[in-house]
Amino acid sequence: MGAFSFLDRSHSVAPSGFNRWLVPTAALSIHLAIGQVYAFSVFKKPLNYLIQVGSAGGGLKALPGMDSPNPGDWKFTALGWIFSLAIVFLGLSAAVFGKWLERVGPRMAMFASAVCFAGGFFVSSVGIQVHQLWLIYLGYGVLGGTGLGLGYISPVSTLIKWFPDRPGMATGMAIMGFGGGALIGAPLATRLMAAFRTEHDLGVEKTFLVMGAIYFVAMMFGVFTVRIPREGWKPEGWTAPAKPKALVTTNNVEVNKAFTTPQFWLLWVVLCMNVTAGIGILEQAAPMIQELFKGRITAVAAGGFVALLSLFNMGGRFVWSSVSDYLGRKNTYYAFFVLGCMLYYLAPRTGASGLNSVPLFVATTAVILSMYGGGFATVPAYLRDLFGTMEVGAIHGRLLTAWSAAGVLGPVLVNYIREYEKNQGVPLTDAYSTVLYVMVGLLIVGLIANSLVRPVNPKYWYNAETAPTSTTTLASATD
Amino acid sequence: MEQVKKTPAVLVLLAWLFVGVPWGWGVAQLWKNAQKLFQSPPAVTAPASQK
Repeated sequence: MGAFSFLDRSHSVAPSGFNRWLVPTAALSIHLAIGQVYAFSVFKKPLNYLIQVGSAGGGLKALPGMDSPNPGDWKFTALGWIFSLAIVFLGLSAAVFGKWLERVGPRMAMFASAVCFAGGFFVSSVGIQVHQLWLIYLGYGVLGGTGLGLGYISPVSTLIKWFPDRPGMATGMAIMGFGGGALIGAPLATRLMAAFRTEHDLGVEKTFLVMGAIYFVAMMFGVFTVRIPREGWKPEGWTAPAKPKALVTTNNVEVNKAFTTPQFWLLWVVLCMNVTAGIGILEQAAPMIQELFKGRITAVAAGGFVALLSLFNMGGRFVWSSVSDYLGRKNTYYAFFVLGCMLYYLAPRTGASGLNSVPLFVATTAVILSMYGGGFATVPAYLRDLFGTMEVGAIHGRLLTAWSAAGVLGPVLVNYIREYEKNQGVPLTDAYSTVLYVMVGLLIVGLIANSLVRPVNPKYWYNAETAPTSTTTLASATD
Repeated sequence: MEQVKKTPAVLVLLAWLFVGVPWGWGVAQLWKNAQKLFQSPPAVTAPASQK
């Protein structure tokens, strides 16, 4: 590999005296970049008007309603596939490349993620220039989505190894960055498009080029900063508890074995239910608050409400995962499900026809969204407790398929129930209640799955003597 | 005896600033947007017949 040898696992072992607080910044630089995917919607309208503006000129200062009148322009529905493809490839690449990541180390995986993610922007920019939608599907969707998956899981096991005393907090910090990525990506894209806009050009392709370059540089900071702990390293003054908590193992389970354990699938259900229920609120937050408090909440205020929920979604990732270091992972998920059931039941009752309290409704939904984010951020530490650190990144990658499933299940459930209720002549406010009650049902399923989680049967434990040829050295697992 | 070279604290600070500054900017933008929720709603105009 020559020039790229610095990417090898062996070249990224930390020297003595290395400050472990540099590692979260490496993880954050990756997650803050790839979290941009949640801001992709800011490109949809400009992409929808490329030909129209090109032919009509600067007359279109503010783009009118959805779907450009020009038949040559891409339709909104077709553009929607870009984001969906990216999320599908996030799940696929996280599941497929997890084992490779554990073998080559975080630095190589972060580099591959940066090349794919930034490359996705560049290919898409060409696609915009030549007006070929398939190039954007291939660029941002397939290539960028692969970068998303690699980047999402790349720092997980490294952080867990650096912070054996606070694994929940460490992974929560990185995953909070993913939630925060859209906060940077959306205003950055809006400002760049405004700067590049001319009479006959909305500036989207130049924005893609610049964003690709910015994100590549930011992610390379992570590549150069990340280090793995040397063999036998532990935090100064810290000793592993003599008697670990009930679910916490000191053994390791290889990813293919973990995949066959009931614990993996129980956690799959736990994550899927928690995410689906969160999407139940996210999908309908803006219209719901306007309907529940008719005449009191304007569309602009509803937009502010959605922004506030994003802040709680992001903050919950750090707060709940840090709390889980003290409460224990299982208890934290109990809190998500029990508290969640109560709050989902309460939310529709805070409306004008019930308690009539906007602050109570906002507070209820904000806590719900904090637990949605918290569910994402706490799961890597839960996996580490059950399966050990050896291949936790790869196992996490496979578990993310639960997210992909929830990404389909959540919106389908919400839209189907709402449509059904509307056709039955049910008032819109009652239709929202039905959706939230169904979400309570899903949370109960998650609660049951969580209660069934037990320590992994020793027959699944990794044994260096009997294992064929492990892809990962056990040395890193004993760090 | 092995010489331990500690990471300079300023390097750690700079690294956190590298990720913290854009992140803080993003949070500030979002907070500005979120404040719209707390702005007072438009006055409800009474129907003409009640004027």
